[in-house]
Amino acid sequence: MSQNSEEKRQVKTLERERLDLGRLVKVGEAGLRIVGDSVRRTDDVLKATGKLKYAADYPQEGFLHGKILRSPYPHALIRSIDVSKARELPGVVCALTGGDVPGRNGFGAILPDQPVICQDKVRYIGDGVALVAAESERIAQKALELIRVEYEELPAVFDPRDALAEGAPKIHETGNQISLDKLRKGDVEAGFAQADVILERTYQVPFLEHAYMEPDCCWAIPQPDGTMMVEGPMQAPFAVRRNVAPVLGVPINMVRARQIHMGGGFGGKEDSPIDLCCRAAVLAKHTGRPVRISLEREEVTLQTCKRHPMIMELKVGVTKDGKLTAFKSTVYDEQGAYASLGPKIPPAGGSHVHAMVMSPGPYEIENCWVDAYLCYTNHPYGGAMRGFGAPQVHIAHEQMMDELAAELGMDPVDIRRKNAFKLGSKTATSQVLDQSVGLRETLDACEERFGWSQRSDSAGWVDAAKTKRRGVGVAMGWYRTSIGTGGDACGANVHVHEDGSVILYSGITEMGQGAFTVLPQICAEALGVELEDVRLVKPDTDLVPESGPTVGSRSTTLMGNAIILACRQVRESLDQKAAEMLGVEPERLVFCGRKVFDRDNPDGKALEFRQVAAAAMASGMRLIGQGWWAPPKASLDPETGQGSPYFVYTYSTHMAEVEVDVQTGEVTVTDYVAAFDVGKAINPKALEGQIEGGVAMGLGYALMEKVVLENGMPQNMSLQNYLIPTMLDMPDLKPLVLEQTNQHGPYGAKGIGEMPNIPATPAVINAVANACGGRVRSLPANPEAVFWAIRELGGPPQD
Amino acid sequence: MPTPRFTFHQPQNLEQALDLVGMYRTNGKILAGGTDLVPKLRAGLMDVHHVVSLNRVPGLNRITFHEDDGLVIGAGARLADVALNPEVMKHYPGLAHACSVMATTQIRNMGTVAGNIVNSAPSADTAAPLLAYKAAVILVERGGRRHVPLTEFFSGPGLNVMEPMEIMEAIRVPSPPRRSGSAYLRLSARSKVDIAAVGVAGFLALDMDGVIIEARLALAAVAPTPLRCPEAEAMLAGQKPDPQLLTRAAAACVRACRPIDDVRATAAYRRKMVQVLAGRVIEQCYQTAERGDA
Repeated sequence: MSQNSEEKRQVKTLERERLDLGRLVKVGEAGLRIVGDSVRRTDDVLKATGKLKYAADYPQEGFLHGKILRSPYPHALIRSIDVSKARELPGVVCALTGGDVPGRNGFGAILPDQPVICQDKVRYIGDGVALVAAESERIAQKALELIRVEYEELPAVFDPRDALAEGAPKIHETGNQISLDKLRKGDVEAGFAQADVILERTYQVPFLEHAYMEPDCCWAIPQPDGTMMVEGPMQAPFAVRRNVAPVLGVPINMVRARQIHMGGGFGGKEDSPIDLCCRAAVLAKHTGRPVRISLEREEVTLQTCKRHPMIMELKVGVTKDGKLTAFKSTVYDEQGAYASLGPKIPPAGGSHVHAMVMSPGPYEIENCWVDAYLCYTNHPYGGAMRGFGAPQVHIAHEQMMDELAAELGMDPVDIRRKNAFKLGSKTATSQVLDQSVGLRETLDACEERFGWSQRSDSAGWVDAAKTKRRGVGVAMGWYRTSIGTGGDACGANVHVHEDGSVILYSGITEMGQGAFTVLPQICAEALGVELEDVRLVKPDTDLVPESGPTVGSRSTTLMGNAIILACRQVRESLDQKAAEMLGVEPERLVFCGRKVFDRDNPDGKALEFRQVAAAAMASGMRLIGQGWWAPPKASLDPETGQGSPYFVYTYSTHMAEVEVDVQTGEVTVTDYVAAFDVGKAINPKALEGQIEGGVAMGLGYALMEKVVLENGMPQNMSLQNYLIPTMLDMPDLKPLVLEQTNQHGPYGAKGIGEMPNIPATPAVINAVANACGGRVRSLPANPEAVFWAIRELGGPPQD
Repeated sequence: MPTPRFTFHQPQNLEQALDLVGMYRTNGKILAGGTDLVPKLRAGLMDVHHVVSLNRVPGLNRITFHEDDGLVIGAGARLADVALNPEVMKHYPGLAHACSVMATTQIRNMGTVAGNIVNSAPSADTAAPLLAYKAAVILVERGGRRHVPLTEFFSGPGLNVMEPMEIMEAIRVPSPPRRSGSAYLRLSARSKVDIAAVGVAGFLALDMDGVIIEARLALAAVAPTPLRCPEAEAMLAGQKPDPQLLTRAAAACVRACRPIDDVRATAAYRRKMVQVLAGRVIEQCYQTAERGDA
């Protein structure tokens, strides 16, 4: 990274308390050596030199190639399927239909409602109706063309409101409404009665494609002992295993899932590897041979999950001095054809409930009322995508805050400061935020660095010809760490060897976010060794303890704690041995930089870490530790949506400056500041990478991204037509990192993976509205949408 | 995706190339930069058994300019080379701009202007400025060579008047008169690294009093082919531009276009943008023409 970026990096510690991690972490005493240091990522060199192998780079000798025949209809009954011609094609080893699935013909991250091979009905264009395995991809492709399917088309539903209507075509037997979730706090009508201004607005967001760089590729290899091994880029190897086993009709211990280094996931590879591994495993089971399925970009768009589209109808009341009095919202959350990660896992898991909980924003509001519908349609299905329901609702509440401010003649920063969470605030679910609330601090930091007041004063025409106007926008955000389910836990194993080297076993996957760097950093810090002493065993369900999925910005916090606990077990042996060797009380020992010494006599005798390890080993002491950590219990009342769904939140404020060509609607983002309260930056440079990537993603959501669907068919399946921001679209971005210690996090850390892209979208949209007056309430705000929004106003402001 | 299989031919001169193209006229394709062809082959959109590369044919990548004869862009000249050629930048700024903003750096380093024309996409970025510069293409086949004005070249989306046995050898662009100016402006949903949703090119030649002697305007991405706007051109000729004339001429450009709705933009928006960009292009051309004697 450039010098410039080194200078830009600012980590400001707001609060550093002594943590509840006992004598293992002596913050401020021994000091942190590795945690907090921007060490080089462990995979950097491999990636930069092209040596890192992604799934598509693995040798294919001996593999059969699997292909999926997909439905051309969004909703149809399957009258008949004839695969006989395909089976006769030389080189085809098997062609399977629904009846050939050995176990449960269904998979899904939460509910197994998606058929491995559709038997009687298809529910979206992209649904798999037959599978083929052949000696080459070419033959497999040919074989698909020989399969004859007779469909009977059914009326399809493409709007969640239509899906809820009486007499709507039924997509699943259980009905189109998956759930109506409710949040009720205070008395919303009384709140409106106190308001001086009430605004009602509808905001809408489309399906988004993750557009991870690496198209999906997975394979299944039958093992001699009857185990099925599945491999590929995957965010949730344990969820893959949990699905493949019942699909094959075998117990979980007969499936082994291994992660291959991922070329981007963004939540999408929580789902898609379940789909591909189940299908590859069924083909492998039938043929007894390794089977590989590799998707083209267009197939990824057709087949895999997207970000949920939502229609959000808001009604918000505010007093004339800017205090929010009531928030009411009806959310239509479109699940698409299959449940994926939408539905609730009690008490507060699943993207839909998360969206509902987050929807009033990071503001103190006495009276809240949300009705959130989740329903099936015949579109592709919504899954996890960086923010898991939160980006959508932020786009609504953050635009609403600006619209309210405009109505009141207030500065958008002031109305936010007036209502923003602080320590002790009560959320919309009546959770009391009792620690680590750095939201207002992010606003202050952002305001100062961006120069908000000067810049908002100088908004207006850029050029004498009056074609371009400049504007500024602000948005705030919050995002949970963890996933709010009852079973959200992480396990880690740590083995210390007699030469002082360490192996760390973790099931948290690497997708570019830096887990394979940050987790060893925590392990090295906790043991007092160097980073290069720790080797990480990559996620493999046969080797590592259950770690849950790599999602929900949970990895560093949950797994970090599990690692510290595992290290603590090993340290019990090491402490005892070192205490004997040095003749001091174990409490006085410091493990740091491969040395062990007496805290009260740091210049005295020091032992080498490896000496202690070898001595402990020679005395038969335990040098294997297992850590298991689950967050404080989550709660959410199913009727009222009240409770403490997530144990800690990350907070953020973004400010953007844009220039809008008012005649064409073109938007250029010219400057950007983003501030975050992350608890503790374990690796500031890697964290900055998260911020840069996240802001880029949010900017794409604001200005260009949308899966265009016509009668259920994606019209922009390749990256030539599905536009995501490039390097050239990125403004000069200044990340600000603040640390408001999380008492439950390793060294105080909270999650950061998803947060950066959440406020970015509304910050840019608000800046566009500030510049040209036109507000795009149905995204994306591409040039055309901005142009029409300005026209709707009758032209840009003339001042 | 299975890799397509074909025989790759690398002729060493134009005669060999013409022989091969003649021999494989039913199932062969010519490759210059390959930036349009290869994705189509990979997508299995074509049944191609032979690919004839022009990259070993000497002299095809030439870019030459003479005051009298104008510009010759060889079929092998890369977009990036044309974009950075000092003569092109000086005399044909609209073309230089088109070549420097279209596609991506990688594509510009491989792709050719001739390929962009032969591919005949309605949105071809180089087509609009070349039309405005009154360019012609030189098509060769065994025993023959013909000049086709670009206005007569395109026949539909992806279609043109080339015969299967022909190779585009070069593009000829007349030398611009003194006191002339030209420009190209484009718009796309993502401002960079994207296919144009609207492209407008212009050329104006002035007399010593600043009266327009000749005007040429061309549009891309708003009709089945790139096209000229004769009505607007006639409106401008013999006039000195004023804001009203600009608006009327731009409106005439809007009447010339026949846009469609697609994933990039609606037809209605494209019409509005032709109005805006045409106005800007005419103005820019006029300003350059007045300023310079080039």
